[in-house]
This record gives sequence, structure tokens and C-alpha cells, in this order.
Amino acid sequence: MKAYFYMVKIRMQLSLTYRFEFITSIFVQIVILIANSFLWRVLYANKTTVSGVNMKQMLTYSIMSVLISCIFYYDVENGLRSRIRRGDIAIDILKPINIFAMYFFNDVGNALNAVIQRILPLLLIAALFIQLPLPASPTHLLLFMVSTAFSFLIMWLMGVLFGMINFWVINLGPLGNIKEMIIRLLSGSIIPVWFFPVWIQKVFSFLPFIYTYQQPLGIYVGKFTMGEALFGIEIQLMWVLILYGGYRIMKNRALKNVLIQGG
Amino acid sequence: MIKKILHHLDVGCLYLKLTLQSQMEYPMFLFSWIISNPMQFLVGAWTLKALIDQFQTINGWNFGQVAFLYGLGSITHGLSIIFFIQTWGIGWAVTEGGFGRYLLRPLNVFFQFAFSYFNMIGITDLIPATIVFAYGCIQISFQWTLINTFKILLVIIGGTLIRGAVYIAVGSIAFWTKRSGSLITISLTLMEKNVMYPVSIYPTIIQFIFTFCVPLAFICFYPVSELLGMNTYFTFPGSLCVWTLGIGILVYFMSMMVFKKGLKHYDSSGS
Repeated sequence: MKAYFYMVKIRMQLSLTYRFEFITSIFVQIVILIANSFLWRVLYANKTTVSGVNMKQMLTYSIMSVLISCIFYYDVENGLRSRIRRGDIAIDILKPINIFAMYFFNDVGNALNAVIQRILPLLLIAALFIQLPLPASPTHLLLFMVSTAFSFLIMWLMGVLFGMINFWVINLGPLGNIKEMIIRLLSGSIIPVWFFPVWIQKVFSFLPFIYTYQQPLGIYVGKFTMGEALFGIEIQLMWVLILYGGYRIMKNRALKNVLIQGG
Repeated sequence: MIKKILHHLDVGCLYLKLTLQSQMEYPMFLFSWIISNPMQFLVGAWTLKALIDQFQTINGWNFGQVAFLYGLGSITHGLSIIFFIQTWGIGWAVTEGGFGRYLLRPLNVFFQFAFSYFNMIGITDLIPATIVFAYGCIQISFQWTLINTFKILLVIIGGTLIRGAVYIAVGSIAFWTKRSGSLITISLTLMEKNVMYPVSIYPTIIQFIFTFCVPLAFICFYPVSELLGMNTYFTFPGSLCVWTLGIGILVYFMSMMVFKKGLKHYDSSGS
């Protein structure tokens, strides 16, 4: 009997650690939030505006960057990997629904969950210790929300495209990490691309990355004029369509290519 | 005594050979790290450069100085990845019963654990870190005198030990909680924030914590401040590079004690 109770104890400890994992992951985001705010404060110590942005705007930018990163957390990429590896994908395909739509709404659920579980506490902490990240105007807020929705679609579609590579190679390994890192560094999530030399900004404007973080955040803090903001959202829409086209092509080929190992 | 040391050396070399062979087995895995790790450092340094071009300095540190700091700090990161990464998996070894195997062998458990794995992927951190460091050295025309070379050596050893000690101590928490992966993430984030920018950008209370509670500022901020002649809020008698080594050795032994205490708590739960 003792052995069985021991198993119960281990299970309970493991489930407690899930809560523990959650608290620590929030803690990491708080550390990033606060450390970045001190960095910007020091950088702006003797300056009012740099590249047309002042300290207050930059602090709001960095706070909002951490906040929206919470909803850009999606299962689909790793989910596809593990389901393909274990062969569970076969069961999903048998279901009389579009499996990718299923994954999508699963991730929409995750995002909504993140708003309550992560964004609200982080917003509270940011407001208490840094500043209340207010939008430039109600119109900017509205455009920001539209733009963030497009960002979510772009991120999700990139995740799906990457996840689908697993249909061919079975295990992508850490290549997914490379993608994550590129997005983190080149999307303006830490440092906006407008601080980079002009030629780099030109190059980046032809890549999808800055349309994930920098576009909505730049709108929120009022860096972009209305015209620039709307134009940026159009480009976001264009990227959504391009990536969606890529998804349609890959999906049809992938499902023909399903190789089930085990399951 | 000598026989004992030789035996430990022998076992260590065998472990090294085994891990090298096993890591060569998955070339694709290795390949993607070879791309992603250097990119992370170089792009990281490059974003710092873009920032400093715009803002001139970070709290009085120019890009050459920041590159020196970041490069040296990242060298110790690469070394700690090579020597200490297995501590990240203590939680796994506890729930899967991996320690049962170590305990059965007639060799010190801490030794087995510490030297059973050398993660060669750390080299992919080490190379770009050295490049950034070398760039920083050239930018600030660092004088490679005998004494400076010796000091850098002390910092590299001390900094690696501090990082290793944090990993061992944090990893050992898994003996009680069964998991400590997310705590490792916290430590990594905190270390990065101590290495990428000078610690002097933070308010005094945070500097105090990183100096006296969790001495992460000693990994490279304090010794580099001495080498580059920058001012620090808290001052110490004697060379800060020697302090780094001393604190490194101290915290390493402290973490070893935590590990041993944790091991007593260990009850194999897997098979």
C-alpha cells in the first residue's frame, strides 16, 4: 500500500509544480519587464526624443511588448511535432473536421486564457512599478487591437508552416528554436527596428517579422502617423494572405504525405 | 591518494569520450545549434551596437566597453554550458530514478554527476562570445599585459564557477520539488541581465542584491569595471578579479553542500 500512496504523493507534487511553473514563468516576465524599463530609463537619461520617440513612449512600448508576447504563445507547432512523432495525427485526421481549424481555435482559447492569467497581473505590476502603459489615443488603441489580431494570425500561420515540416522530417529538433529566436530578435520585440540603420529597416520591411511586434506596438505608442499605421495593417493583411496561401499548398501535400510511425 | 586522483581523471576522460561520441550521433541536432547559438550572440551584440549608436552610451559605457563586458560574460556562459549543463536535468534524474544508478557505483556521486557529461554545444556559444570579446578588446585597445591576462583568466574561472554554482544549487532544489527547470530559466534570465548591460543601470537595492545576496554581478560586471577603470557603487578592497575567483570557489562549494544535502533527501521514484 505504501508504494501506491507514494505514487499519489509524486503525482500531487508534480501537479503542484505546474502551478509552480506558472508562477516562475510569470516571474521571468516580470524580471524582463523591470530590467528593460531600467535600461530605457538609463538610455534616455539625458535625452528627450530619439528617432522620434520619447522615454514615456518607449517604456510603454517595452511593457506592451511583454504583454502581447503572452498571447503569441501557441501550441500548434510543438503539438504537431509531438502528434506526428507519436502517430496521434492519424486519429486527428479521422475526425470529421478540419484539424487545423481545431488547432487554431485551441490556440485562440490559449490566447484568451493568457489575457486573464498573465496579461492582467503583468499589467498591474507594470502600472505599479513602471508606469501605466496608456495608448496614444482611443483611435490608436482600436488600430492596435486590429493590428495585434493580424499579428496573431501571422505568428500562428508561421507556427503552422514550421510545424508542418515535421510531416516530412518527422522531427524538426531545435530548428523551431531558430525561428523563435529570429522572431524575438528581428521583430522589434526587444528593441524596435527604427533604432537600426536605415538600410536594415528597408530590408526588414520586406520580411514578415516586424509586422508581428513592431507594427501593433508602434501604433499603440503613437510612433506611426495614421497613414503609416493603416498602410502597415494592409501589409499585415498581405502577409496573412501569403502565409495562408502557403499553408493551403503545404496542407494538401502534407496530408498526402502522412507517414504514421506507431500510434 | 595519487592513485585515487588518477582513477578519477581516467573516469573523467572516459566520460568525455563517450559524450563526444554520443553527440556526434545526431548531426542535424548539432547543426541547428551551430547556427542558432552564434546567431543569438552576434545579433545580440549587433542590437547593442544599434542602441549605442543611437544613444551614445549605456550609463557611460561605450560600445567597445559593453562588447568587452558582454563577450567576457558570454565566454563564462559557454564554459558553464560545457561543464554544468547536466545540472539542468536533476529534476528529470530524480523522477526517472537516474540517481539510483549513480548511487550504486563505487565512486563519489557528486563527481560522477558533475563529470558524466560535457556538452560540446557550449563551443557554439564560446566562439561567438570570443569574437565579441575580441572586438571589444580592439575597440578599447585593451592592454594584454601579463597581469591583465592573468586577471582575465581569474575572471573566466571565477565567473564559470559562479554560474555553475547557481545551476547546481538551483538544480538541486529538484531533490525536494522534483522539478526545477523553470527556476533554471529564471537564473538564466537574471544572468543575462547581469552580463549584457552594466549592472550600474539598476537602482542601488537591485545592485545590492546582485552583489551580496546572489553575487551574479561578480560574474563579469565588477571585474570588468576594474579592468576598464569604471566606477561602481559598492567598492571592495583589493582586486575585483581576485574577488570573482574567491567568490566563485566559495559559492561552488556551497552549492556542492546543497547538492549533498539534497541527495540525502533523494528517494528513487522511478525504475
